[in-house]
Amino acid sequence: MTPLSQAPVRRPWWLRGPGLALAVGLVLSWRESEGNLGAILSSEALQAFRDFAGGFFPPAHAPSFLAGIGRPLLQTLAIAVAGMALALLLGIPLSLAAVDPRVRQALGGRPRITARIVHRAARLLLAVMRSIPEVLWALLFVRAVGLGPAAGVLAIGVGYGGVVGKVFAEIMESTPRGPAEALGAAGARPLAALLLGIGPQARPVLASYALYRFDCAVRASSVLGLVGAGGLGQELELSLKMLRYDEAATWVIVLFALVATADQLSRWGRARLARRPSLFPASPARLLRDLAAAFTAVAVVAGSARFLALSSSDLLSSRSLRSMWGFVRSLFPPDLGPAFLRVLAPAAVETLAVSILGTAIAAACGLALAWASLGGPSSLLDEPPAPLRRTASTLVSLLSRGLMNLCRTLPELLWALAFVLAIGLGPFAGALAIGVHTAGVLGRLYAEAMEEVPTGPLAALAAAGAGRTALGIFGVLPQAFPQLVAYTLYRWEVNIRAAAVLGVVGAGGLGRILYVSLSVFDHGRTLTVLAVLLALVLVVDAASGWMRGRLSGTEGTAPVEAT
Amino acid sequence: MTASPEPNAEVISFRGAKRRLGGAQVLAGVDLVVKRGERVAIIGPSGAGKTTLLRLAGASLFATEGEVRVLGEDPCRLRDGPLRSLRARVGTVHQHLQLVPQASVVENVLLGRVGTRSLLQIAAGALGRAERSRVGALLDRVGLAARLDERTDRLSGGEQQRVAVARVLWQQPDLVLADEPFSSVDPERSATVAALLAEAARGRTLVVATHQIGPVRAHVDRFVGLRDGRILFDLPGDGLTEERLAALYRVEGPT
Repeated sequence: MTPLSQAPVRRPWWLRGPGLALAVGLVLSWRESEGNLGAILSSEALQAFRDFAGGFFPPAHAPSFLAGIGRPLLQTLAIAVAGMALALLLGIPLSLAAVDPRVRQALGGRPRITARIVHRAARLLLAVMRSIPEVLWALLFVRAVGLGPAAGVLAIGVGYGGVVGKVFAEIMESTPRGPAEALGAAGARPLAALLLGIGPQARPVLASYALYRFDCAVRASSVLGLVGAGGLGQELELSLKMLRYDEAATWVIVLFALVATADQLSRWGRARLARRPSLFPASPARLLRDLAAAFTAVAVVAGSARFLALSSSDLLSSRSLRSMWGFVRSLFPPDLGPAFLRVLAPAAVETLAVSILGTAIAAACGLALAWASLGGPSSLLDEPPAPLRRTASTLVSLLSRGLMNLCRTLPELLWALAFVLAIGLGPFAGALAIGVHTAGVLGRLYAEAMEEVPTGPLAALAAAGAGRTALGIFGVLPQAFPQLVAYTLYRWEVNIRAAAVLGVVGAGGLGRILYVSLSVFDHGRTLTVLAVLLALVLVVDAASGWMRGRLSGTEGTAPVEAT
Repeated sequence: MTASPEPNAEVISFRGAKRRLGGAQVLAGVDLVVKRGERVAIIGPSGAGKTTLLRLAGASLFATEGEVRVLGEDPCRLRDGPLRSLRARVGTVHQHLQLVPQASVVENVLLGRVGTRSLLQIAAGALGRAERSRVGALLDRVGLAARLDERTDRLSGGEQQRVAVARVLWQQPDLVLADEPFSSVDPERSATVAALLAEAARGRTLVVATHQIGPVRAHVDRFVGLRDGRILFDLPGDGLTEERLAALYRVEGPT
């Protein structure tokens, strides 16, 4: 045994490889995204922030203005509903094809080369679908099928179809297989064994994820208007650009209410589903109720499509198919000229830098918000604090929760629009936008992770006389740390996609080049940018997956809200 | 080739059957013939290969070497459809029961015929009055008649065991396999479960894998001792002696 004094001293993690690499990465990202504290603190920026804050209150409430809200609002909702329906229509069959062939084998299927090829192809297709952010899909579809809500529906359908397919497949893979294996052993077809054995267990998780995605679709469809794909985004942009902040404030409130309603509805739906006593309707009355529910769902989707004046015969008419095919053909050949690549390389680096800096800002702000929202460690220990202190910490907690909700509700693109107006065009506005939006998302995830740490060590520290700060640093953080890092890495994967979009509103990176090439119909360049973007996204996904694997030993599945 | 109906037909026959799983030789050459109507207990310590043997007998796993025939068929050579039909003729009570926890009791029983019926037929069965009353009668036999529409995960372990037996009864298989059927019930209940199994296997062939000899002694007429993937002994019901058992469960190596 080595005496303790002679044991090699292990440096803390922030002085070893990963910590140093992170520091270097952050410094480089700060430089590449033209990070500039002066820009935020300049008198002009501060004035702009003041104007924002002052202009927002009171929100516009003239009857003539309110009367005009309904239509864009309904359109946004309808785009989200129809888009999500399309996403499920595409995503569910693809998820079944993308499930690991080993699952099929466990259910009694024989190993087949064709099954592996189908699996690979479905995975690849899903990766491409979800690697291009929905706003970029919207840009592409606007070119392919013209301005209007159809482009928005297709964008959400294809982009979210990719995410839904991947996540559904992962959920099915991580569901216990025992019951399904038993059905396979009794002679069930692999698909029947999957539906009856894995389906019922996975159903609440699947529904929960689909409903969460619907929340996202509402938010997404509210910004698709910025690229001409319908909904309230167009109105909001107009209000901001005409400096009518009071109108913008009303739009934000309406959007907030819409997202909160969608959230409540999905909570209710999830709870109902988890309580279901059987797989199939057990009585004629139940059968009628289920049929009515299914009919309502179909009617809502059909109604949405009708409201948006979409019709499948229009979308699939020979004229529109020809126009789509013409667009696809115009993408070839991609522009691989050295002059263009020389422009593209720094833009790709800029996008990467924006995603890293934005995620770092979000992690720092999110941690602060999460800690504030918990109301201190006494809430974790279930100890009643002094009354005065309790009022104060409840207030802080409510405020920080509200702030997180606000950050989260407004999509990155809207934040970017605001920051571009305040501090000027450039990648730094993009990094700040990603930082603010993601701080809301991460804050909530962090808070949940910290709430779940075992309280034993905390009680021991508190008994030894540790104060609030010491409890947080030595009791809560170390226990929650791996999970916090995993969440942050998941969000980085989301943010690399977001960073590629922000160029559309002038926040630099690949998005700007894509926007330009689409605007001037230089589609050869469009394809090159898309390919570079795809490569960048896949590299970041792989890097993040590798780091998460090193962190926890397994890759695990993403928490619903982090993806 | 289908199974011949006459008595003494071989329901299971293993000839030099070997099976590797994850790099380990789980079955190292097993010769075993079980004839129609026999009741056999496979006994042996944990890791002896009992579960793998049952899975080969149920045609859900194939031998890596040697020959295995189930109900006269070689599962390895069957196409997908006939293989599923063969599996549908083997009913299994699994070690952890493997019922669908979110399904109702009646649905779990109906799932016994998942190999011969379509999804729609099963869904209709949960609704139809005739089918429900037949399942009800069956649950009456295992003592669970009143719990037809209960969600399965709300039942106790012992009750779930009865549902698993009812599912096999509903399947009406030619061969009944049971893998450690006493692992999720307390010792007093083991005798009841063994009686239920014997009841389910009436007129059929039964193979039980277990390391609890007590509960099955009254219901089986043959003991096969398995250790390290090989058959150590194959005795009639009354031939099982303390010495044989001691040899089967002997702890090896320096202690």
